Amino acid sequence: MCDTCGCDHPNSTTFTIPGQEHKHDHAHSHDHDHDHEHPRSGSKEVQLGQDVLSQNNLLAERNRGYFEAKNIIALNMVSSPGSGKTTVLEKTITDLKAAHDFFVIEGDQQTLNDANRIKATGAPVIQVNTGNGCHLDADMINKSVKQLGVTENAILVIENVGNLVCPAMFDLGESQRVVIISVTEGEDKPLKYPGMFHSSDICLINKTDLLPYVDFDVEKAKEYALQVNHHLRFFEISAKTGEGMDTWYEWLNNFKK
Amino acid sequence: MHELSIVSNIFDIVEENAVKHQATIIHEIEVDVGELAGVEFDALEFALENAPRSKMLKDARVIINKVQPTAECEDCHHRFITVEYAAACPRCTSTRTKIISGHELKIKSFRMD
Repeated sequence: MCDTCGCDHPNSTTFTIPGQEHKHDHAHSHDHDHDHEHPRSGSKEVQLGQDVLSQNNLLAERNRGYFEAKNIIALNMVSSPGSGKTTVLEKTITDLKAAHDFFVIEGDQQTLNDANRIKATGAPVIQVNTGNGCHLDADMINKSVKQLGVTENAILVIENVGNLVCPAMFDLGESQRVVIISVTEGEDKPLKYPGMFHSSDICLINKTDLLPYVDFDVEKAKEYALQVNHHLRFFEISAKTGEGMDTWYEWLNNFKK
Repeated sequence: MHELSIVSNIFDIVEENAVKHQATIIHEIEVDVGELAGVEFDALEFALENAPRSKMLKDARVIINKVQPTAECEDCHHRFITVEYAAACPRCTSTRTKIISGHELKIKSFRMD
């Protein structure tokens, strides 16, 4: 759906496999003809009790069932823009591709930049451009998985749109939600954006190579995050230098078993 | 600004159900929204005023019921009202608390003819 005007224009979100780009026209035309009768008899109340996001949640559960049946691990990676999601992913795929088959769904409002970076690692990737949309939803994942041809026993990594607010509400059917925070951000981010930290399973603290140059207090950040979600597991990593990545890989390898 | 897609979802779901009940017009929609549902109430109001509406929904009034979040302490099982994810238990001061309600985003009912 187009978030600008709320219309159901099918081309408002685009799915592109790098190297197979094609253009869409996105023209908006809306007729609002509001000329009608208002019958005013005794009105009837209908009890509904339906979740507003029920369609997304239903589709997310379908995705989850598919992933479980095919022994696919799906990770939903969420963070603010610029925390290093793509770099973590590039490094992880490069180091573990001999052991696992990786497939990647890249979510961004615009550009194929991230998909092109992932493509260079050799992993099959699809770029979802949400246009004005601020999050990926379960339907986009469903369509992407079909286009990507994700194989059995694979690891599917979904890099969500860089945004710590909206993606928290949308279940994609993932096995685990991984939130990334970098040490160049404030350590109180878990308290400022608690919804995302509350709904995540794993927290990667990235760019630890920069710790000598910034005021970020790792222990404080963990303490804040645990206040919001005391089940959260942490890995302190530097995707750039590779420091700490082994503990993250160990977790991933064990989780995949 | 996912509030606009939420409002569109609300309208779609209500209209779909209204058609099943042979409605010609929808007068009122009542929605329960938890204070931790990830919805900005001002943005929701704005979206309700500005989202495209079908003929059937043109004059429908939307009532938003704010639902207060509740947390439960995993140590002493005390339940309490809070608006914070990071709330400590007011009885035993433990921070091992979990939110058990407040994420609702539910269409309660609608009134139609």
